[in-house]
Amino acid sequence: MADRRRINGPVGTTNPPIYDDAPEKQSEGFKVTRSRPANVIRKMYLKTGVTPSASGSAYLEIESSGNGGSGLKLSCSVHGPRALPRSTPFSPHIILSTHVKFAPFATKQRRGYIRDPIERDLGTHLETALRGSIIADRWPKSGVDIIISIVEGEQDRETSKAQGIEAWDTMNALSGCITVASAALADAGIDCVDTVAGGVAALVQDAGNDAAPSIVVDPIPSEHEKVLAACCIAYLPTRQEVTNLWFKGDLPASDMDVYTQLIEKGIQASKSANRVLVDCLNETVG
Amino acid sequence: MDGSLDFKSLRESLQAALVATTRTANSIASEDLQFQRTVNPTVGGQLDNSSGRLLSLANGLLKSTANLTGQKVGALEDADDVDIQWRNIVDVIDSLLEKADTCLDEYTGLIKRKDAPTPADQGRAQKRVKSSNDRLDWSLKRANILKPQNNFEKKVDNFATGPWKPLLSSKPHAKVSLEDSLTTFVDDDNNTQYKHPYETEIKTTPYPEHVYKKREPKEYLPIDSTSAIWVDTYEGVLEMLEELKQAKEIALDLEHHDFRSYTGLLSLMQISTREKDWVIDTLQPWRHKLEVLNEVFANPNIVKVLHGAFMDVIWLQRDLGLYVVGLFDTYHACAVLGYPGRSLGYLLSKFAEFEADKKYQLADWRIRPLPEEMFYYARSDTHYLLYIFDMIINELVERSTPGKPKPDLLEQVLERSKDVALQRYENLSYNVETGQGPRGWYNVLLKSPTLYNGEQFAVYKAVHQWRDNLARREDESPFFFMTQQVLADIARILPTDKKALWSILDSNAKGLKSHLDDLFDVIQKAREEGVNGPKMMDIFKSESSILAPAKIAAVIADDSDIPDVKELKADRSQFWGGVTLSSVWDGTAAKTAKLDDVLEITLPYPADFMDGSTAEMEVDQPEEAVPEPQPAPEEVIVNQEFTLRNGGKRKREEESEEEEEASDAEMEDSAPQTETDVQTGGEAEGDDSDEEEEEEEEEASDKSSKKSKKAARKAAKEKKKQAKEALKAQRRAEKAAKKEAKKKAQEEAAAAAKQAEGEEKEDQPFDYSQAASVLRARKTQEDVKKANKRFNPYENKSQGGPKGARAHYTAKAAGRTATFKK
Repeated sequence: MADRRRINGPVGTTNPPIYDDAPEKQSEGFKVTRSRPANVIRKMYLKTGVTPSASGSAYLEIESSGNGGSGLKLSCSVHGPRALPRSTPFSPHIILSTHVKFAPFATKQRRGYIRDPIERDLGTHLETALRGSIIADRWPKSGVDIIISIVEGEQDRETSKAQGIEAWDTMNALSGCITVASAALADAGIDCVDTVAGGVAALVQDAGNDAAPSIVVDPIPSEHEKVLAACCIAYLPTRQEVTNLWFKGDLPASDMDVYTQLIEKGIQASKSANRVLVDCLNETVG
Repeated sequence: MDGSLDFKSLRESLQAALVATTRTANSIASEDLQFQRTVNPTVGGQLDNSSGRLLSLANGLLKSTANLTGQKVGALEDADDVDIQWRNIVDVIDSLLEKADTCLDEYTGLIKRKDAPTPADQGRAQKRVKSSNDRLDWSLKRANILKPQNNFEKKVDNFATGPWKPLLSSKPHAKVSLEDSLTTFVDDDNNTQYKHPYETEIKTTPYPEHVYKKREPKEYLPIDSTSAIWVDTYEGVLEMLEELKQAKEIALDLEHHDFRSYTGLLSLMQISTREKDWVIDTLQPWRHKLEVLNEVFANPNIVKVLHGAFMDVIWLQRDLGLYVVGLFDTYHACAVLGYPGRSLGYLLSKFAEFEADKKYQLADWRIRPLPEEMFYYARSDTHYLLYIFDMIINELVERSTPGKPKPDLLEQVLERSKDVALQRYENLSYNVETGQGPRGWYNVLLKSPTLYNGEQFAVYKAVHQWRDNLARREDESPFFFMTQQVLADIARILPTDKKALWSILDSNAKGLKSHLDDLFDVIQKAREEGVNGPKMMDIFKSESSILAPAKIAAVIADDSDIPDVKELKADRSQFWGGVTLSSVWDGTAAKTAKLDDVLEITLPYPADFMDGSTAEMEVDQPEEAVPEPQPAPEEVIVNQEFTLRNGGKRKREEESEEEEEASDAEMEDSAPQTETDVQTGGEAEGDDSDEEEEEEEEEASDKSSKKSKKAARKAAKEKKKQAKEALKAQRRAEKAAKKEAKKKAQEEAAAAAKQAEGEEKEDQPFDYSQAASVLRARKTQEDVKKANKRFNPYENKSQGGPKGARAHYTAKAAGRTATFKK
């Protein structure tokens, strides 16, 4: 007798796909290097208004470098401003809640359905970045939900896991999250002081030459021998303010200049992203 | 048995006596005593006597219990006093009864008697007391005593500037002679400084062999059964020195005081060997003579074990001219061994199981004679240190592999200890303008979150300098006069009068009262000067070490390095291809570009994949696979049957066509329309006349005097009415004509359509290749127009933006307010 109450699995057996984690032989001999200039970010595809049911939404795609790597694909929807539930205490300003979720298939290592620490971390960083741009006291007693799904979240599927450098990918993802959330907020018509955009800069050691490490914007870890340090910056260009700064890596404590240079480059990357963002928003108006 | 019997008889007799007494007392009370007294003077005398006796008895009882319970009752002088003191008396009696109760309970075994504390318990209690972190008594922390430094034979110059010359007068265990080692050099900040006199010795002399060897840890002597020797005479020091020379290693610790002295005072020195402890008073007027200890301290063959010697080394050379060669710092051993704690307290509890009460660290160590507990604490600091040293050396040797540079932990500790020993004391000068120097404000302000403007900054600098000068003059710590917090408050608030200034100052800043006017003048002067002076940020910006903000600002302003938008923006998604992501972008796409006439698959395949697939399909099946791209536009209109797009709206389209036809008909048939107009007009008039009659009837029944006036008005009204009716009639006629024409046209059209359909059906089967696409229906002009009227999911949003939160109306319980709840 058929069981109609439950959703049963298929009767037959299936074999789960098993991925070969061993690095490909080809990749050993053939090393990808960065083809863009050091101060140019990758091309970005950004569109607002992709989810009709949300009050604002945006889709961001950072194209892959073209050598087998995969890009970054983010979809963001903004719900609100809407009334807070009765149980919440009075708030004189809007309450931001940010959720960042990797799709299960977003990275090579499959992600779980429960939010893991990295996703929480991204959420908090994102909230900090956005809080600086929203004029929060225009919406008392209200809340806004910003939900980002990372459809594809790894720059390069092979190297990230092999080198254990997921942090750098997370940083790239965060910068994308900030930009796409900013576009979605603008789409939702929520008042902001400025458009905030994210940018990443990294101090990298290139393969081959033993020369001094250099600073690049929008790094792809697989294109470099080693990423020594990186910083992700959320920046408001017209107000010249940094709303969020995430710095990670080993740097000589003595050399103050490297810190500042990294931040400068991060700001530059953020400004580049902001240009795309503004252009995209103009498209909506025009 | 015997006792209980005794008790029984005793109780019975007691009870009998009590009952008898109570009875007599009651019977006496019922008599009229006052009357008896006046009638019989002897009775009066007896009464007085007995009441006096009772009072004295009560007094005696109260007095004896007062000793017992600690409750005091004043002496009872007459009977009225009993009433007045009644409460106290009841308390005393209650406590007596309570005692009797507990005694009885103990006797019967209901409760256990508290035993006298055993020695084991005592030990535990002692430990507990020690670990308690209750605050140190204020008198031990900030003792108000005469300054010991006033009696020193060699006084300290608080205003000294330039290089600080070491106090050394002779140099035992020298490799380089004293004259040669007292040379100057120029440091990083371009100041001339004296070199460390024992620099060569510390750097080159190896540690004695036994340091590198594992040893049997020698247990410390029990701290309770031995006592430390208090050394406050020079002879005592020399005696101690002889014993120290015999030791292979000594433990050393110092206590320091810095609140009531500008430079600070080395107040106490504790030294331990394996057998003995000494506590040396370093506040004696002859303290400079302690330099003889260099015989031991500079001897590289005697290891000096200190914990956290960072400051101790400086204090030793500053106050006594003592230098340590052969230092072993257990703090660095903790760091190298990766212990979870690095304090001496941690080491003591780990190795010696001794809980040091660190609250005495903050005590005022100038107090003489030293209180017992402080003496105990001071001694315990070094008493266990040599045992700890043994244990640590063993662990270091075990975990080191000699020769290899990295894991040689012992060598690391020794190297770091040498660095500690090489520290030099420098004069506490500072640059007033830049704030650099040991007592300068630069580092304080760098860490503080406040930003001062020109005026505030000038005041801060001025008050800081004034405080520093005052402290040097009075030989007090700058913080004795004013804490950093108060200084910051003054600069922030900028008090405008003396009263405001006084309220900012600390309540216990008594030392400042006499200088208040002075301070206020300094503030006023600095304010005037500082209006156009440099701001706090200006100073930091000008410093080379923190160029960052200025530099970043320059970068922020510079946009030239950023590529153009066109280079940054991708027009086509790699994932979605050219597909519009949602219907919002449909309209704009249709308007702006008609380029994608080529059929596109509305499925989310990557663009690359899609291009490839279409190409392949073209090769395989050239014509059938690709549907005709351009169906004829007329056909779309005529084929009104199946397409999804047209299906729903067919009726309305038909109607619109018919309307057009109808209007044509109207234009043509203008002449007959006038005819009908006349007809209907007649009817209308008839209606009107009916109404008139009715009105007239009413008027007649009224029979009012104003008939004539009304009639005139009526006439005017009637005229108006007639005109209106005529208009109405005309419209009605028009409508009727339209209806008729429509009906006719509809019939005709239906017939025509039927005919056409019939013909088509008969002629050929439905040609799918020719049919309009369902998925990608082509858009005609009309469609495009209508597309704008389609359901717009974004409509809500575009109308004046999102709406704020609605107000909540919480339903109130009727008839009840919070005030009258219950």
